[in-house]
Amino acid sequence: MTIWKHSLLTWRAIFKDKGAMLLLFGAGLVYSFFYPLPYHYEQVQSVPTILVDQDNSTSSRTLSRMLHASPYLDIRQAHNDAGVIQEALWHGDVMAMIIVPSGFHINLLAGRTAELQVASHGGYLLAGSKALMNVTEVAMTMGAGITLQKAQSMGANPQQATDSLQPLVLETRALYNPNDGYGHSIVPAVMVLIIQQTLLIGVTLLLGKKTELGQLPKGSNAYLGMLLTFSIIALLNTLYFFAVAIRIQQYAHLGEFLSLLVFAIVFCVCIAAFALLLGRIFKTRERGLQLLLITSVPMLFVSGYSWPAESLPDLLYYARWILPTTSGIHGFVGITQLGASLADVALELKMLLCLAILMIAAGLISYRQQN
Amino acid sequence: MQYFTGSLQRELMHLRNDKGDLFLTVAMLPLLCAFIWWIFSAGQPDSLPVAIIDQDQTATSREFIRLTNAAPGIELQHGFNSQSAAVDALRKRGVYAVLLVPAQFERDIYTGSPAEVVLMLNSQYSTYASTIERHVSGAALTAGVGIGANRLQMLGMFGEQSLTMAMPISVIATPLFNEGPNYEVFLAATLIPALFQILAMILAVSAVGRELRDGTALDWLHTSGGSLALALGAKLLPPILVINGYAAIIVWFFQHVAPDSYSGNGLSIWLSFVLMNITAMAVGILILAVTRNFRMGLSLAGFYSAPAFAYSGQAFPLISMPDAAQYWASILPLTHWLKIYNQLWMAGAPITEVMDSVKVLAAMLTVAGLFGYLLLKHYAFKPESWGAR
Repeated sequence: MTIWKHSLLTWRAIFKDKGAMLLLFGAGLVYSFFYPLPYHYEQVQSVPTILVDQDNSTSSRTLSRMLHASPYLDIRQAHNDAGVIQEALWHGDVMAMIIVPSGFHINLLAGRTAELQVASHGGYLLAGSKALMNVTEVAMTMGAGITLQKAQSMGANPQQATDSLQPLVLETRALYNPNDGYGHSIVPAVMVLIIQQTLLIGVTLLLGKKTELGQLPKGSNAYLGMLLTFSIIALLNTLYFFAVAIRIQQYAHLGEFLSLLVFAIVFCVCIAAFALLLGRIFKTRERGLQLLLITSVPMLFVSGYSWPAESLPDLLYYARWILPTTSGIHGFVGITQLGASLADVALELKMLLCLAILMIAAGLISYRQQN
Repeated sequence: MQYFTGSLQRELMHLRNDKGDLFLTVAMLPLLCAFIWWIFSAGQPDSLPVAIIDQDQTATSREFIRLTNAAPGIELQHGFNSQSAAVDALRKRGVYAVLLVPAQFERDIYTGSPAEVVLMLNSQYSTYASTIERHVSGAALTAGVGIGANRLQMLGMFGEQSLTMAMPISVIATPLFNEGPNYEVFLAATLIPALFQILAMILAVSAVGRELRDGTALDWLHTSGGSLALALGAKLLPPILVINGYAAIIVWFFQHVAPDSYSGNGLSIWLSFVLMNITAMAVGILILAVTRNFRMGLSLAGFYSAPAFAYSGQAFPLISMPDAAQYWASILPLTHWLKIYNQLWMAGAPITEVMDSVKVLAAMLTVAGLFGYLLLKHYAFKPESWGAR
């Protein structure tokens, strides 16, 4: 039988299998809406923050007004009752706490540095750092006003006084994800995982049943026919995610379509070959579902995307490339989010090509052995 | 008791004969947990590559670069001739930020104009970007205060006084309950329970699901003397013991790896962990009882549990999610357990503070367990419920 015939038979088998259909076509569609949902607003809007004013002075009240005006802080005024504050932190009602210690106003008047404490719940890193950043900004604005007044009172002309305020300006430009959107950053990477995992599980589901019945197709033509079908399915999902879903979710889509297409073809052949190898290992229909569902989370973090690759242990830094998701995540994010060309993702492309060649060779041997 | 032992033996015999199920029950979790811990074992992002372009090439610019380079989280990379070469490297992900010191940097500082440095961040790689930004802005703030103080001294102010005046208000950051920030505590210790929830559900669905798939449900019930409660108890006992045994090891492990991060009582947190695991299993049983199809049960359990971490509010706060996402989060045992984790284990709150979450978990356990039980009793032992794949 020819490769085409085997490919066609595989399509037929898929269309007859509700479970495989659901995983290969339905799951991606559902996840493309379900996964980005929690990050819909993209940013931590307002961090519930408790303000403890132990000074109760003109300066502390000015600071309080400025903090209330900060858009990212949801300031809740608290009395100095330690019990109430502790309770609020324990209860998780507030994620950060600002303490204006007594003596704040006097220190400012006396020309000493007035300290302001910001404590954030270490369990909520994102909210905590957002609170800290905003409080620092407010403190700097208020501090600048004080410096300006003092410099002028010392006889400096207005220009000199202003110059002493911000002698060094750090201008930060956020490229590629200008609003620092959380979903914008994480979802395109997770899309790669969804494409791979739904394919692996769907294929092992289909082939697991065939193995149970002793009907797993044999020979290199059968292998290549299945490889063709599964690669096309993966490609359809990939194009849906990176050409359609990414626009629906209003994420960036910068790269050229041709670069995306070439990279997607290599990635899809690679994961289809991976799926066929697993299909040879898993002997029952449900085994892939049982074993693969739980592996998505480690795959994401070992890729060196959400958690910097430079901070991975040395062995993992290199070993992570064994998984197609590693190249896939960096390659697809590179092309679609950073506008990278194929030359810019050459490393990822080469890794995928090597993996695909190795896995196809292993697959051909493994599927031929049955004859 | 005799029926319970018989049913338990039947289950153990299955695990002995089915190496795949044995691996799933006993080996999968410790392997993945060790792997997760290994990934985050560095604790904090370190040595993140930043391209530096020094267009000023003066003693002052070099001093600023030296100050920035001293920040532990970043590693400055030289050798970029132009801004476009550095931005190319940014796109190729050879570096994750470009720090540009413009040509008139020193002149601006000496003439009293505001000197500007530009930091371009690859903010798509958000952990890289936020870490680099934190370190570079810290260095710039320090340098800025120094320069400001110098200028004030030129206006006739004394050293100490000028420093105070350049920065009249200083913000002291005190991270509560997680010094550092330590990602072993922030991510590893919270991702691992997410894996527990997934596996607890898969094991529960698998244990009962295969009896329906293979049409052996009646045999399973007969071995237990006709009592479904006994049958379920004996069936779920091995995974319950294994998972909660591992949970105890995890609690012990993190308490010893990062003792400063945990002020709560280990036993209480383990007991709540056990409650989450059993609740996840009960939800698994309910899903299977509704679908009465092993494959469909696993698919739905996967849909429910695999993205649970994203919804749990640990990485991205619940209060910043749309209402629909918050409702979904509220039906995940993990969300409630992570709240307990933050309150009880990290913040050292008394157990009375977490009773609301405990009650929610207990209610979920009761409702899912009860409905799962009733549905199984009603449908699972009829031949039309068997054999679905």
